[in-house]
Amino acid sequence: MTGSGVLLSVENLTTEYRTAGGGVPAVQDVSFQVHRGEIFGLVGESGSGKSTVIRSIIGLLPKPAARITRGTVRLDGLDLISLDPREMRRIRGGRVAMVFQDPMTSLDPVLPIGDQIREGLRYHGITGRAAQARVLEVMSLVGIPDAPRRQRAYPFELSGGLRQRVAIAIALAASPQVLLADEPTTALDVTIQDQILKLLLSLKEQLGMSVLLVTHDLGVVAQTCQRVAVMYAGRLVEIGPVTTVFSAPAHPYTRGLLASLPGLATGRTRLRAIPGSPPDLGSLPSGCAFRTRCPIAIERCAEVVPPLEDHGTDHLTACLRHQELGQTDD
Amino acid sequence: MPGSLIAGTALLLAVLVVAILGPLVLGTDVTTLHLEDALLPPSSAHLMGTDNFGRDVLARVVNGALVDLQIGFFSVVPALCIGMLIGGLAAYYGGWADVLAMRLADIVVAFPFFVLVIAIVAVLGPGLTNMYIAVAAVGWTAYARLVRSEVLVAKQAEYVDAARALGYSDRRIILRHLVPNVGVQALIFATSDFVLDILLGSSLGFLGLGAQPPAPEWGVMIADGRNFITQAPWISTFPGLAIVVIGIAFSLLGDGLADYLRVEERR
Repeated sequence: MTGSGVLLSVENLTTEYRTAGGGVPAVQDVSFQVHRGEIFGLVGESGSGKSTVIRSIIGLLPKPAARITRGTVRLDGLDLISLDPREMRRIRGGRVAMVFQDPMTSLDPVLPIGDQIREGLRYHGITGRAAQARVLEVMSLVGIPDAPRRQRAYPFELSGGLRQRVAIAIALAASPQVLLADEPTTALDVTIQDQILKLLLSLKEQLGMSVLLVTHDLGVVAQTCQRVAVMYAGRLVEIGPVTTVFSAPAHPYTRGLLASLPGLATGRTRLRAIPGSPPDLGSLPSGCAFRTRCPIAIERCAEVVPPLEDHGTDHLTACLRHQELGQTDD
Repeated sequence: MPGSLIAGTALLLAVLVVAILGPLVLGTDVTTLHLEDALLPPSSAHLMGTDNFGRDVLARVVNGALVDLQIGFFSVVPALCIGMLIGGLAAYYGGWADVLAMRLADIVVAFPFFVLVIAIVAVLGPGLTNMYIAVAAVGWTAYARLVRSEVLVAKQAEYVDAARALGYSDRRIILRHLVPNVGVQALIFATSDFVLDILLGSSLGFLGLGAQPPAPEWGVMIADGRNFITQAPWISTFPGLAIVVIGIAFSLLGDGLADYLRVEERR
């Protein structure tokens, strides 16, 4: 169930990267809400700005190259962007935690994993015996067997899946309200991916935590998320409940993505790809950024940036022709 | 554990035992003149012979061990600390801090190492303390560059991002996560630097700029013996061999340490 109310709210977020040729907007006018106790998916291709969104939320943008030029990020009403660095540090790890893509590199290679979990706890005021108990608790929570012995292991002694569990344990140690997961399964084998996703789901159930899951994998979204937002070239093009978006996509880009999934049942032998490639963020086409690849583009698409409009219950899309799309069936 | 690490450690321990226990056995009075015993060849009474002032060469070599180990230590440690600090901060913060630190290092490195150390000692005056100051002032550059490049690589690693995502302060990230990860390289470099600094100390002693006679420093002893090299080669030879032994010990130690830590870390 999508708990009670909004926990994390992103409004009109615009983040620019400074380059020799001026500011390049990596994220433009992105708004979405993550509810309490839900897993919210943010999907898009590489370079669509999804990681920039997550880094904007937790304040880890590369400095001084990237800058938030507009918008707000609110956690339970608290504006994170206006916090000073010291206050933001207390939020990080405490109320908002993050899991990274590659567990091979996101753990410190020279510290035993138990110490790495404990360090986060100490930083948020839990020490001594309480910390030790908590270390073992989160280790078993994320499904690391034989925790008392394993806590002395170094990252290189563990498999990729176990390392990602450790990374999740570190993130969970101080009981955050929101977990930001940046492609947490991309670097893992498919069978391990499945285990990690199931782990995220069960953690959400047990802890009532919210998860913002960034991925390029629609299968991951289908398996774990309640709601999903689709990003293209720095903007949200569609947002809604996963079941609705997947069964009746209301943006030609989402339709293209879903159609390009290699399906076993359809018996097709060739992949159906979206023609063309994503545009250069420094020189976006006028109007709708997707129009150059869009099978149903019309002249007006070059004139206005389509706003996100209602396409049914909780379902928004940024396509001028979404009403026509809604009626047709693939 | 690699054999070279065991051998190096064992050899170094042996040197330390000799350096500490040797003076207790052979006495610490190695400066009193016994002119009647001058230039005696090695014998059962003087295993390494005597020098031109009749002093026992073995006793002086043994007493010199602690002097030269100290020279190595006090030359390496300040350079290591200063270099790691400057290199680490330069790489972590980047920008003008990086430019300033690295151009300063470039200027220092532009001069030949030896010449610059000798020049500084000559200005400050001969003696070990001034030599330490000179070595630290010049030697930090190697460590700074090494640590800087290591930190630049480590900074890109996700675990630094992950540490930041947990709200850790810069100080904690540098001290607890970056230093242990990059310190290994600097430490391995320091073991070979240790030998070079002992050689440097001996060279300065030889030139009369380091330890001053009659101190039992190996370089000074070699310098003293060179006038008698044809009649009494033992005066210079034994301190020279002692330097070789310490050099081998630290080379083995450095090699072994590099193998050992690399395996532990990157397997």
